[in-house]
Amino acid sequence: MARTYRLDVDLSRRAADRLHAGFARAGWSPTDEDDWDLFWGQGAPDPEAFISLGRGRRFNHFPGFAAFGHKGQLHRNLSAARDRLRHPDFYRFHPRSYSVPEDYDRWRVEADAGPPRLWIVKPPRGGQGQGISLVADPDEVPREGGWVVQEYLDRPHLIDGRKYVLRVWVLVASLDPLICHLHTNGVFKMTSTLFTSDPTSVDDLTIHLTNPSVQAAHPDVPLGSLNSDLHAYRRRLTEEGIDELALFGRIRDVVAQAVIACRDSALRQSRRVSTRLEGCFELLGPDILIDEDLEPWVLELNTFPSLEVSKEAEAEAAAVVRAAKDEMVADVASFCSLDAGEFPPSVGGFELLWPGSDADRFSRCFPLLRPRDRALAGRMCPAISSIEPFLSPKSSIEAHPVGEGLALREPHSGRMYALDSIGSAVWLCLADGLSPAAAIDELAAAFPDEPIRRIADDVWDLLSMWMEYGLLTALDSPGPDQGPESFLEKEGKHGIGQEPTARSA
Amino acid sequence: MGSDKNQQPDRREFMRRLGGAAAYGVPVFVALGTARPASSAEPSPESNPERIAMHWEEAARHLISAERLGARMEFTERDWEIMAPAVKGLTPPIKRWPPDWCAIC
Repeated sequence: MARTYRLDVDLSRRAADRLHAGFARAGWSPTDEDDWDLFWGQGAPDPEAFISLGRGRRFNHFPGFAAFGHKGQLHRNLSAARDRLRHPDFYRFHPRSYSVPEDYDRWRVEADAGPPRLWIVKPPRGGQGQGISLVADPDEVPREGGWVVQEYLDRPHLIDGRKYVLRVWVLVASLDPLICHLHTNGVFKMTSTLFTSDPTSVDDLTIHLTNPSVQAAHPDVPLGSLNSDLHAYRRRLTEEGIDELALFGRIRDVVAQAVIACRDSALRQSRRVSTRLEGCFELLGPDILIDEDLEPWVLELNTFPSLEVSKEAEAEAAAVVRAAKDEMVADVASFCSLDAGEFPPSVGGFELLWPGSDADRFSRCFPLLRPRDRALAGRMCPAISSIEPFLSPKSSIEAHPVGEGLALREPHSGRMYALDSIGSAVWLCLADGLSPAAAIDELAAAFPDEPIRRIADDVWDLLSMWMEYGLLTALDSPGPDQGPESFLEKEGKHGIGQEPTARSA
Repeated sequence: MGSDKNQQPDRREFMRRLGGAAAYGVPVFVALGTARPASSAEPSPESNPERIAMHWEEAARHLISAERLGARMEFTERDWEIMAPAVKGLTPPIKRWPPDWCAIC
């Protein structure tokens, strides 16, 4: 029997058309009833939708999707990863960004001190260029309202003298373990007006923003001449003698880093809503700008990538973009036809991004490789050790009793942290040299009515945060009381949970 | 502040009391930020460890209770509004919230 999907009534007709076309290609049938196998939602979903998601059903969002899509959260996640790694090969692909009002003073100091430059001001949410403006005068930047102020990249690679942005598609199939695929196709979006970084040009957004809705305002240039798919873009690069394979390797690299940087935040936010995330997936639409040195920059990740094809587009160009979107939607539907927990190296045009055969390169992008990540990545990439590191509180951290728990202080930075009683218990276990698995066991013994899987997930969330904040150090060899048993061995021993299995394409 | 790692609770005793006293809940971890004076008029908290300890303890208690009320880990002005019911319950020695010298408040 054909699987059924139901679309959110808030979807635009043109977006619904693309979804219907893509799902039909994959053999799915639409329904308006409640017996759907997949619900495609638009806008921020009601938390109740996740809690009531039945087994075997699919939903096109994770509860914590804002960790990817909210511009301020994306900036924080990428900045935190960059600061933690401090490595020239990682996290150098996102323009400096500031959330207003909290970062306003810091931004203003920089804006006033440096040479005059353009800034791009974005609302925290929303798409299609809505609410975005360019400013040359810092006084024009709003102090309130949750805006994101971003350094404007004023040396873009140009095609026919015009700026362009690439929309790629990422399918996040699972958050724990992280499994994500990058599509081989996407959309090429170009501006209608010749590029200039002259500050006097800021009011003409057809120079600077590639969004079709913005470009539609241009009176003379047919929109169809501005958009195409990535296959056409790659052919154009080849004609110009550019090594497009190398460029797309770099795009793959930065997109993987960006998704990994947001994973832990998305997972923590998701688990606050529901502990059952098996049916959730997320379609991301990263926007990539290529600079004149042919280096890719991740501008946004977009959790509601446009599925529409502009009605103003010329027939030929519209057909190319429409076909690309239909193909991608059909590939999403094919993925959703798989059993939960199954992940092939490719699904149609979606090819595995993480964990791939090069997982060892990206493993350092995680604050902490969680047990399910490690087990899966180890199977895909032999360089990933199956042995969990031993985690120990850094010797410089002071732990002080406060109320029912502990407060931590890092004396070099002066930063302080508060733990409740359960968090404190985990800290004490690590301080006494216990492995994470042993700490989970101790908590499980203290709370025998609590499912150990939930305790384990909570403990790993906590450990991941402590690694993010630099409170723990990972040791290659065990501490005095740390045994060799891994968390997954323990999880298997308790007969709970199975990590997804790989299969051939 | 006085206390240090030497006064860290005994783990086994802590776990025993924990299991007997509380229902399990998602462990809460709150970053309180860095204590530093916001203006030269305020004494450095580092020069007044007793004061910073009091602030720290109160902040820890109230931020954790705020977290339990549903506030997020990373605090914005809106979060402080959400946390107001918990923060209003704050008792001296901190008379005004947030203290001027606390960088995170």
